[in-house]
Amino acid sequence: MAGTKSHAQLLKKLKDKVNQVTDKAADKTGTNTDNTSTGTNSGNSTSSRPTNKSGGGLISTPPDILANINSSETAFKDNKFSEARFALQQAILGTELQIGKEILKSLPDSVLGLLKVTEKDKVASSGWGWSGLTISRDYQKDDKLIGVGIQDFSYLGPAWSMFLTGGMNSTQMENDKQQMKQIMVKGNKGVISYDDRKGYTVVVMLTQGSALVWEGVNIPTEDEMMKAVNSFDIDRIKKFLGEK
Amino acid sequence: MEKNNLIIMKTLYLFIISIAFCTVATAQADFAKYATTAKTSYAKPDLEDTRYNLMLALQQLDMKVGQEILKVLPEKIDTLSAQKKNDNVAANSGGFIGTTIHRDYGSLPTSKLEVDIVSNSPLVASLNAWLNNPMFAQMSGRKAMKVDGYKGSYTYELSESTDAAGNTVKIPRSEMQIPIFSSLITVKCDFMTEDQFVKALNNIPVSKIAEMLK
Repeated sequence: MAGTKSHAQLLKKLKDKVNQVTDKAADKTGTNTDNTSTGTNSGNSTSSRPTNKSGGGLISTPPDILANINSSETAFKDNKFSEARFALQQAILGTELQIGKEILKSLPDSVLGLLKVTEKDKVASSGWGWSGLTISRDYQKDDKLIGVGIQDFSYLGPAWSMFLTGGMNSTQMENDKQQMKQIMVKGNKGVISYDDRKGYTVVVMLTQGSALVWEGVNIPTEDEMMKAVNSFDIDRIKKFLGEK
Repeated sequence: MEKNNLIIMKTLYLFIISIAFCTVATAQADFAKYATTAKTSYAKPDLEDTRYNLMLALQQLDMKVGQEILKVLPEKIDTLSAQKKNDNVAANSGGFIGTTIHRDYGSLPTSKLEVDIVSNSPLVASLNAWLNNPMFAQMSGRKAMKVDGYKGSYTYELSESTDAAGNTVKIPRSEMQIPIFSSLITVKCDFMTEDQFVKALNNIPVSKIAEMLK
């Protein structure tokens, strides 16, 4: 993994170098419009790559679940397996996006007086199946923030790394301060940790691999953080995810 | 650092194979049955059940693709016959491992060639980023090579072991890894020279397999 990171850094340096060289070459060939025939200095240079300032974004088109299932059945019968796979994955994606939206609807509109930040609501699905569904919402007021994330068996989620490093089974102390401890959240085992730079983090691992993660920034006490966490209907979320 | 990266890669690869073999889908339920059940669930609407049945349908599709790939693999590679009783297709239920397909040719103590394909795996996709890296392909002990037009990474080594009589035996080991989208074809062989192995590789219909793995 360290090798991948250094390789990515090397590629970025190479890319920056190429951009520098092409910019210099464009200057030399006189494509710089600072000296235009009208004699005005527009202040704009076409020698360098423009930065994007406008655009309509992408049109949101959640996959049509029934149409994709039908396509996959037809493709499978015709032995067009890659098409069948693509259509099935689109159907899974569409279903997971819908599940994500339903879960978001079920989350509270405010927590500890902090209101939800609707524009930051996120549902992401990879369509791979049992991995990659992520749902997140932020609640914020002034400099206080509570973020909730629901990760459905995602191998990339921070919850995984926390548990893989033994967070579930350990209690960690640094000097005299306890940094991590085990808790129960409405009958579900979890771990709470605190870091001066990040604030509180609570992770609850559900029965079959889904994880609920809460982050609390500038939340004054552990009790306040736990009050926030307990205001979520975990059983309802579990039902949506098919967890017992 | 190069050695550490090689160790990480091999460990990851072995981890993928071992997890996949622990979750073999033994039921040969019909793909169409799960697709139909998914549609019925969606109509209720029961989204969780819809998703569950779609995933099962995906698993059956992967099994079918695995079986079709086994059909296009050759019956014989040089003098080595396919050991069809060892053929294996495992469609995992974890999502990120992918499907594994395995076939042996020949057997020890003469010569054995193994073909392993891990398909449609997000984990393999990140591994393939390494294999497609031209710098990695030229690392010590590795050679970039093409099989049926597809680039791959080839390693050859002479490993030592002792036989029953206690004599040191040098075993030539060859391995070819061909990344294709989010799938990986690995061909390994003991007791073949480099030339023999390269000749054997050309029997593998990589382009046909790639078409099915798209």
